[in-house]
Order: sequence, then structure tokens, then C-alpha cells
Amino acid sequence: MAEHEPMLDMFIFETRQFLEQLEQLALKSEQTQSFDPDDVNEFFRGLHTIKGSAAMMMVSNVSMVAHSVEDVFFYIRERKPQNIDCSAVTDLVLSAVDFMGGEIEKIDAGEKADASSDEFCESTRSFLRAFKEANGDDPDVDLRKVNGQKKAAGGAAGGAVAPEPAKESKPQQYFIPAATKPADSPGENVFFAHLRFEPDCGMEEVRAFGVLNALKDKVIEVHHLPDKILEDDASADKIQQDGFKLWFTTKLDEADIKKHLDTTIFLDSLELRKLKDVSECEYWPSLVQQAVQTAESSSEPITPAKPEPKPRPKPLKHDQQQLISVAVDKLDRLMDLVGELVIAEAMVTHNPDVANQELENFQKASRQLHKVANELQDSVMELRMVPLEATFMKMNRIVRDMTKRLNKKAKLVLIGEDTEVDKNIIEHIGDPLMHIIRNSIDHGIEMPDVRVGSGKDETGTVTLSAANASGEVLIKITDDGAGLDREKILNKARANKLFTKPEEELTDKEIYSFIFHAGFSTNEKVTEFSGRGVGMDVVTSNIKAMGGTVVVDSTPGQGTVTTLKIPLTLAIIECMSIAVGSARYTVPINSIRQSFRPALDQIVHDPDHGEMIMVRGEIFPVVRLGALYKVPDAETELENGILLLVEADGRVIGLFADRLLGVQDIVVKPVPKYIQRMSNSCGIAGCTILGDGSISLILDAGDMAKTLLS
Amino acid sequence: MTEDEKALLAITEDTQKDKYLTFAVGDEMYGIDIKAVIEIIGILPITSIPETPEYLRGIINLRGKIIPIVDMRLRFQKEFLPYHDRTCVIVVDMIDIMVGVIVDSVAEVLTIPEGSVVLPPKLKAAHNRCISGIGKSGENGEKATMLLDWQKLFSEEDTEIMADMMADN
Repeated sequence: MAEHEPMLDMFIFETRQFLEQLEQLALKSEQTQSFDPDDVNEFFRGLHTIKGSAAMMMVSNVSMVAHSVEDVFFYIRERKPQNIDCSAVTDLVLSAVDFMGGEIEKIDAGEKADASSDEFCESTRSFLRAFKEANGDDPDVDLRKVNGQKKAAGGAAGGAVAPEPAKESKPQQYFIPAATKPADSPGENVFFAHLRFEPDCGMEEVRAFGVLNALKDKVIEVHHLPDKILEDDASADKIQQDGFKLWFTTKLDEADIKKHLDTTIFLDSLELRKLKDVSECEYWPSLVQQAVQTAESSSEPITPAKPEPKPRPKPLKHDQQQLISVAVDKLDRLMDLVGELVIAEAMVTHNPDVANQELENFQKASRQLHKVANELQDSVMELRMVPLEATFMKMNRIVRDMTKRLNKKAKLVLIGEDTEVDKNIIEHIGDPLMHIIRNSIDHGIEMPDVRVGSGKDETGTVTLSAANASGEVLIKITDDGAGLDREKILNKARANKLFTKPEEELTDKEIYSFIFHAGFSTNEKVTEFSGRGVGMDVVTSNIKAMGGTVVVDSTPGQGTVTTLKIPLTLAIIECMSIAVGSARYTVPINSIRQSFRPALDQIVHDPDHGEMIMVRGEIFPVVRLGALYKVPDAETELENGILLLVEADGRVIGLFADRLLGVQDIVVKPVPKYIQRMSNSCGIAGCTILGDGSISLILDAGDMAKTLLS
Repeated sequence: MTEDEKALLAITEDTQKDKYLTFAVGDEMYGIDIKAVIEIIGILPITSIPETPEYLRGIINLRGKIIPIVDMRLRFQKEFLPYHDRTCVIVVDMIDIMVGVIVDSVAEVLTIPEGSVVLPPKLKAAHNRCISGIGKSGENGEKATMLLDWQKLFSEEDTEIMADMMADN
């Protein structure tokens, strides 16, 4: 991500959030085939905020698109049309979301948001016209204006459209820079500017706001009529009728200001007059007036002309008020510091200077400190945990788009989406899920007539479920489609020479797992969604990178189940600490199958002095860690030490250590790059800082097994 | 950035220019560019890493950061001296790596202007490669300080040297 100023960062972040929310709302509405009034308000709020902030950040195409979609929702909200095509509205919202998302992406990458919004706005406008006609309304009546006038007239004329211009509305201050000094101090010029926009430019209020914004840093004090630009729905109409009037004081001279204002787009006419002082201004509220008006406006009752209270756009939607976003590296830093704190605490409480003394109060206090420090550590660890919900929700969109395109029918069922996983896992899980779901719909779910023919429900079901299972998350993607075609996969695998053993010996699971090979696709034709054989390869590589596994199983005619087994977090794992001489190593607990003290009669030696151990009829190689890592004072007698059977990728090896030290949650840290470059030792996955400040190396059973077993 | 800030920055740049932290390894004095030095610490418990060259002593925990430790005596093929409480570790920061180096003692911060630096004679011995120049200091320039090229010392050059060493054995 490119570096931005904080304002822009905030804009990008917020807009993305709103876009996501809009997408979810749209999909929900399509599913229920109705627009809930609350949802419509939510749509409206989101679009309105995007429009406002985009206009403020001078991203006019985004604000135009938001505005045009907002019009549609305005109509829905005001007229509650009966004849409403939810899918079409959803299509519209989604394409708008895509457009705006694309532009935001560009801004984020430091480019200019330059795509043209005209086409989209045009199609939205014609959509709205058709929509209005379908509901028996006059497509040429702009409801927004009708409403604004109604509101301005104070609800005097019930349903009738009052053509009265909205001049009576109480002038209120809009006071931009915090200039409190007298406005007519020497060197300051007072100007009056009257701008008129071209009649058909649309979105007058946003344009006026843009003008105001551009002036902001050039003027000392500015007041304008209409006083509320973005807050008032009627302001666009007022500006169109009466123009946009500005009174301001500035240090710049007339020519500069004129030059500046002339650059305004869609400007029809500009009248710029120099005034002697502020007393000549038609509208120049004093500080006292402003204060009074602010107080008045805050207690202003809702106008009776509108039965529904109007939701005021807020920067964040209500259910997110409890959330703040924090940069992940700050959290990491916090985590480091808390780790340090725990160590420092141990250094104080176990200080040799106080160790052998009877200090009752000190002991009490240090126990308290210990408790607090541990609790702090736990809560910091939890900070990184995020529910899977958002990632799962995104899949709705994929299912929708694909079923529409392929003329299939399918619904997505989510189970356990509140399961929490670490932030870094979330980031890596989206792509694999998307590919699996695409595959399910493209290959798994049959066409509706085929489904009915085979006695299934016309609409296919894709179930996405998540559950915690002993320190791991199990994510299952189940579809009730046709299942994998064993023969097709076999043929393709044969053609690509993927067999590692004779064909007859392959189990069904092994055959199905061929689909995870790079470049493997049973599709003869490359389509928009699949056929290049990339997708499933992405799945395996991403999941493997996280230390997870993918298993696929299928029953012909019944469907396919893909199971992803992923660690809860990449950062914290539960480990067993073991001692080998004076060195300490750490083994992830989920790779330990069992640990026991070996008996000599279990040991088998091969002619090359290799050691093996027989456990319940199975034989495993034994690796003496002391010898492998050349630890000088390691235990050499097998019956005095302990043997850990560790399992990785289906291979099991026995690690021989001196003794077990205990189980603990550790924060995984990478081995410094320099060491990685210099070391050719096998089986070290990372390192961790133990409670006493010492470092322990994390052993990677998989890597070790790979190097030791051919 | 205002002009003042730029000027201020230029001054701080300048105060670090041509300054070297000098330290002793065996009988020789070495110097490293002061800009690369983060801090000087006492010896901390070292966790050794298996199957690494002997001079790479292992890793330490420096306030939550894990830093590799290199013993300069061993790095320059000198005999190992046991560590004591006055043993110094200079923590240096390269572009992507932070390394702690164990030296016999830290001497001082010396200003050696560019004019007083001579290029080392081009010897074939591998270990000459990480010397960027020899700085002359003292009244008559009789004190020689070998200026280390930190980049080379801890970069791909290093692995080459290691490979050479392995081959020699």
C-alpha cells in the first residue's frame, strides 16, 4: 500500500467498509426479495456518506456513482414502490460497489481515480425512470426536489407540491475555518461571489461543497447560502435556482480569487464583487448569532411533513461504533512489549536478592503482579483474533455471480461463522475458499433440470462451516452436487503422469487429491471461472503455507466435501518444551502423537547403526536430538530419557530428548534472516522466547521427517 | 519539510559523517561506521543454533527482538576467549539484518576524514575482502584502524567465505 496522508487513508478505509456493507445488504435483500425499511435507510446512509466523503476528497466519479444509486434508494424509501425487482436493484448496487471499489483500489495504489462514471450514471438514470414508470409514477418528477420543497415549506401543504422557492428556511451558519479575529482587519479583502452552475450538471450540492472545500485554505472566514449544503436534501435545488452565494474574507486579491473560481467545472456564470467590509454582506452571522443558531438548530424538532425521522449520515454505522481499527504492526509491537513485561516481572519476583528472604508483603504484591501480567498477556493475544464472518460473507457474492452466469441455482449456507481466528489467517483464507466454492458450483452443482431429474432439490446447497477443533479450525465446504468424477480424474492423472504408485493401489482419497496438482483441470474448455487448473493449486499452496491441510472426499451423486484444517493462529501455538542437555527445544503439541519412556527391548538396530523403535507393532525411526544438534551434555541412555513420537504429513518419527519440561503457549518468531542464510540445520521452524527470557528453538517435525526419511 | 528542518537534518547527517566506532579484536583495531551502530550491550545468555559456523554463536533475546550473535575473534580466525562481564556486544543494523558482534573491547569514537583513509592492499586472502579501507589517525597518522565493510561482512560474501572454509576443511 502506498503511503498516504491520514485523511486519505481514513477515506479509503471507511469507504471500503461501507462498500462491503452495501454489498452484504444488497445480497441480503435479493435473498429475501424485499427491501426492509431499515436496510433501505442503511443503504442510504452508506451511499450518502460515500458520496459526501468522496466529494470532499475530490473523487468525483465515485461521488457521482454513489449519488446516482442513492437516487434509486431515495425513490424506494419515499414511495415504497410495490413493483420492485430486487435482483435488478441488487445488480445495480453490486456493479456500483465494484466500480467504486475499483476506483478506491486505484487511489490506494497511488493512481488517479479516472474511470468515467457517465455511463454508469446514465444507465442508473434510465433504470430509475423505468422503475418509476413501472410503479405508475411520473419519471420526470424529481422526488428529491419535491420533498425538499415540502420540507422547506414547513409542511404547510400536505401532499400538494408547493412551487414556492425555499427562501424562508432559517439561515444558519456554516463556519469553516476557526478564525475568531475581526474580519475587517487590514490586508483582508471582503468578497461576494455568486456562482451559478449549468442547468443540467446535476449534483449541485456536491459541486458547491467542492467549491467551498477548494476555497477553504485560501480564505479566512467564509459564509454561504444555502447554509447547509450536504446536510439538506433541498440544497441542490436551491443552488440550481438561486445559485451558490459566498461571502468571504481573504488575503488574496480579486484577480486571484476570480482565477480560482473560474476553474470550477460546470460553472455557468460567476459574479465576483469586492465589498468594503463585512457589514455590507447580506449574510454574515456574528459569533453570538452563530452560537444561538447552533443551539437552536440542535433542538430543532423534526418537521411534521415527514413522518419518518430522517437518518442523519454518521461517519460510522451504529453497530460499528464499538470498533476501532489498529495497524497490525502496532499490535505486534504491543505483543512484544507485553512479552517483555512478563519476563521483567519474573526477573523482579525471582530476583536472587529477594529469593531467600521472608518477605510476606512482597510475595503478596508480586503474586498480584503476576496475575495482572498474565491476564494482560492473554488479552493482548486475543486482540488479534477476528471472526471468520466477513470472509464467509464475501462468498455470498461469488455464489450469486456464478449461479447467475452459469444459470444454475445454488444457495450458500454458513455455519459457525463466528469462529475466531488470527488476523493473518483471515488474510490467507479468502482466496482458497473462493476457489473451492467456485469449483463446487462450476463442477459440483448440476444444472437445475439435471438435479430435478436425479430427484434432488432444484436449488443446490453449498455449506460453508467452521468449527474449533483442538487448537485448529476446521473449515468444511460441502456441496450436494454430482461429486467428483473418479474416472475423469484418473484419466487426466494418467495423462499427466502423476501416479506415484501402481494405479490399482490408489485409494479414492489419493485419487481425489490429484485435483490439487498445479495445472490439473478436467475441464476441456477454459471458461471464465475454471479450467486453467490454477485454482486448486492456489488452495493447497496457501493452506500449506499456513501449516494447514486440505482433504477432499466425494460420493458420486451425493456431493463433495473439502475439509481445510488450519491452525488458529500463525503467531501463537501450544507447544511442549523439551530439554536436551542444557539446550531447550519446543515441539508443537499438535504434532506430538505420544511421549513415553522407551524400554530397551522396543529398540531395533539396523546394520548401519540406525535405531528404530517398535510401538504396538509399528516401527518408527529414532532421532537422537542430542546427536543431531551436537549438544555436548545430552542424555545418551535411552531408558533415562523420553521419546516423543511426532507426526507430520503422515510420517512418524521418534525424537529422543532428555526430559519434558511442560506445555506452554508460545509466540512464534522467525529465525533471523542472517541465521537462516548461514544455517544448514534441518528441522528448525522458528524460535520463541520462553517465560524466563531465554530462547528456545521450535522443531519442525515435518521438515525433519522429510530430510531423514527418503 | 521546511528549510530549517532540512538544515537541521543536514547537520545531524554531518555529525555522523566520517565517524567510526573503534573496537579491539586481538591486537588489531577495527572501526565501523557509526551510522550502523544501534547500541552496545553486555553479554546476554546465548542460545546456540545447531549446524552453523562456529563464529555464529547463536541468538540472543534483546528486549523481545531475536538477534544473531557473531564472535569477531572466531570470525577473524583467532582463538576463542571465554566471555566475562566486561565482554561487549555491539548491535549493528544493516539494511535487513540486525546483528550483535562480540568484540574484545570497545575503544572510542574516532573521526577519520576521507582523506586519511587508504585502500587496503589487494591480498588474495579471503578475509581481506571485508575491509573497506585503513584509516590513519593519531598525531602523525601512525595509528591504523581497519574499517570494516559491514555490508560485505554479513552479506552473500559471508556465505562464500563459509563455503570456502568448508571446502578447505
